[in-house]
Amino acid sequence: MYLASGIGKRFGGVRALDGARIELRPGSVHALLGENGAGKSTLVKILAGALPPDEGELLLNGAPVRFSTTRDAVRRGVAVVSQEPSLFPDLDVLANLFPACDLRRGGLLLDRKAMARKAGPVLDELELTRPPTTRVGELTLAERQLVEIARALLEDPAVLILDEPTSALQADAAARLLRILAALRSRQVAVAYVSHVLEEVVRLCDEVTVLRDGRNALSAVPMAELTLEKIVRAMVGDRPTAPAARPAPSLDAGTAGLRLRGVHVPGHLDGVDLEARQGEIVGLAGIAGAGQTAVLEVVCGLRIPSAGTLAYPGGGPRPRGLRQAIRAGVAVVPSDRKRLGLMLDKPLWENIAQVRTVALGRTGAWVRAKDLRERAAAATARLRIRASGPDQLAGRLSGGNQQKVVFAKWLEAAPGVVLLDDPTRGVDVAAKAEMHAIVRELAAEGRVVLLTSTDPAELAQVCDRVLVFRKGRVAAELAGERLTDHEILHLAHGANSE
Amino acid sequence: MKRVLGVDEFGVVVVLVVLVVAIGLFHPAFLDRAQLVDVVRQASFVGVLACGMTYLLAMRELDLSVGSTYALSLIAGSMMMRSGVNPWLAAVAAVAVGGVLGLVNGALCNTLGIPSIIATLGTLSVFRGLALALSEGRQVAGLPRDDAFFTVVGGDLLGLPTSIWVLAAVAVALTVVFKATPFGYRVRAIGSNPDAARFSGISIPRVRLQVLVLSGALAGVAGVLTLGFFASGQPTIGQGYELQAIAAAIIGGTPLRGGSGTVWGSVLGTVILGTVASGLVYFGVPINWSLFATGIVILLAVALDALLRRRGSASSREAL
Repeated sequence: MYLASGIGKRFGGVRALDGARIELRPGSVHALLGENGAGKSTLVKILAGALPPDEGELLLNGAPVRFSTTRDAVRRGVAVVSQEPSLFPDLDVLANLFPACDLRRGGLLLDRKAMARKAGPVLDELELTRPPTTRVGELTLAERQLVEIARALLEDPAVLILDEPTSALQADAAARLLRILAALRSRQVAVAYVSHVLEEVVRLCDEVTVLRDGRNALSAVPMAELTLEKIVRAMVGDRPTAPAARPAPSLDAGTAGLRLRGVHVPGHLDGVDLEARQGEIVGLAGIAGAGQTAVLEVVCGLRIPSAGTLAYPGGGPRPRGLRQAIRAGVAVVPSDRKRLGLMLDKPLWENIAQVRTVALGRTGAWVRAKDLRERAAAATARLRIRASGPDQLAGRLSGGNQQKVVFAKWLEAAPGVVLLDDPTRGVDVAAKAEMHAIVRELAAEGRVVLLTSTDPAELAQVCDRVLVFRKGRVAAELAGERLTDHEILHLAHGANSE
Repeated sequence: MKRVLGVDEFGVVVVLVVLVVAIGLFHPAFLDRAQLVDVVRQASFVGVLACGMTYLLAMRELDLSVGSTYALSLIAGSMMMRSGVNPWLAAVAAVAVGGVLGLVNGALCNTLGIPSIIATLGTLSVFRGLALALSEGRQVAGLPRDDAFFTVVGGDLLGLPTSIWVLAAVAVALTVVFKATPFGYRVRAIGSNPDAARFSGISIPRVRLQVLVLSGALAGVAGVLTLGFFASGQPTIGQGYELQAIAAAIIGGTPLRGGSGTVWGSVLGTVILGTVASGLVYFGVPINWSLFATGIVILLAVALDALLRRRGSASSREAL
């Protein structure tokens, strides 16, 4: 038995956990749930020995434990299978199962026969049918996950933490998971199951703990006593859900906008219709992988649909790729701004000029640095980017200001369609509010804005309309009074629309 | 001096001046105008290649085939001249051959999806092999030596060898393109952050192709200059020039990680390499030790430049 009680953890001024508790019992599958920021992943890290708690204690079979590293935790019987792949794709299954290479002959050579003997029963139990000499790189994602679980089981753990084991659209996920969990129950492993997919949790788990704002909203409640409805309410709580004061969209219903009809992308989108008028901010909600990001990828040409049509506000053909989409007036503000948005070693003005002047060449054959510096200075002032001037390096700015630079570079290009993929991730509250104002301004100037966010409250606050995605389809559309974070979360997790 | 040359080239200039003065102290004859001009003239062929290499390094690419492209365009040009084609026309054709070979490199990279270092590692041998096969491994001689082409391209113009003027013109033009056109900014944007460049609508394959064609055409230009000077075609010429061009660009201050570069720095880097080679002769270093000594000097030059650079960035940090 593994008990964590009274767990507290602070990061700077933010309280991530405040007296959280979870109790994992042998042979039982325990769901750990909560919204983004509720403290779930912090608790998982503490359970796995990746973070020390500030307060509270961990008891393993009644004895207090304190892990120095995750490796230390594994030695004491607490293992994690996380969503981050940790396998070596160029090695075969067997080599991956024994990363410490501790089965040896004469102290030097690997004893592959002994490894195969030891791994055989576990692989059989998990029904991994590929020969153990297969290179892991050749396995499907699902099979790789089986290898990860087998590796954890070979350590003979008392406790196993499954961190987000499924992505929403894997076809045979349910059957496979049932099999894995059956194997774990029969081995009397205490399992913690962390997931976004509530329907799955309801089907597969024995008890539920829900975290909200770092505290327990539900503690080890048997699944038999719960419904999806009750779980969602525990996750969201009773916070006021009145829609934020939104200026009524002053839209001309006739304005042609962005239009998707019957868009299919195998494995991602299953017949999506979407219409967004000019001047409108449309939110795309859903759990990770439900289709909202895929829609953005289709609109910006990164994914080519297998069926369906896509029309831009100005007309024109469907893009053959990202570059054509950008030339046709699409702006992409990615969530990973450091990797995809900025040149960190270049000054602000070069970053801000990157689309209009450099990529599209709209300012002619010569780059006039002086003009571009002046324009960058104007954009810096307009978006209230806190920088010493247009010559400051982008890498020297804070996260929020960096994201504003990404906004600025797209604004320069005067796009007709603006795609915002979780643009305020990791940005502080004040900068967030400023960015929301910028987004509204973008729409007010007659652009089509599509916004995804991992924060339902943000969608409820900023958008005119929100489409909730589930398994690659639009499951519901929310607007006006019904557009609340509670409702978004509720629908995203699979409750039916009334 | 900083103001004139920009911070990038400052360290290289210091290295070059120190080298020249050091050799001159022991062997004043080295400081003769004719001797110094000759050092630069000999460096001019690799210098033209290094200008193109600057663009490639700035976008995190490499062209290992420039030495072979250089030789193949030279052989093509000389064979045309031998068979009676107007030498000026043949020279233009030789530059075009270089460009086409660059196009082949780019097409290989883009269609096979392989890095340019791999593609050009292959064409390094392919182009050299073609040069050897076409010339049957022999020098292409019997060119119309008294044609104006050889006296102009191989001779002097306003008191300096023509090849130095051409190198200067290439360096000026490429510096302007690098620093003041969208194309130059694209090259650096890709080197700075390829993913962000792609997400801004820059086509990396297209720019890669353009830069490889540029590099090939410059190798053709270098081939024409060489042909004008020697008035014959040697198929084994320019082996190892690709590494000299890369070394020159790096000595000049173009970082391997990409994102920035300096064409003038690469030219100066080539002159530094040439100065070292001549200096070793003056000091009577045995011929079998000269390669070793050249390598040591390259390392010292890069180390000194890195030291100066670190000073520079430290003081600019304090200024912030």
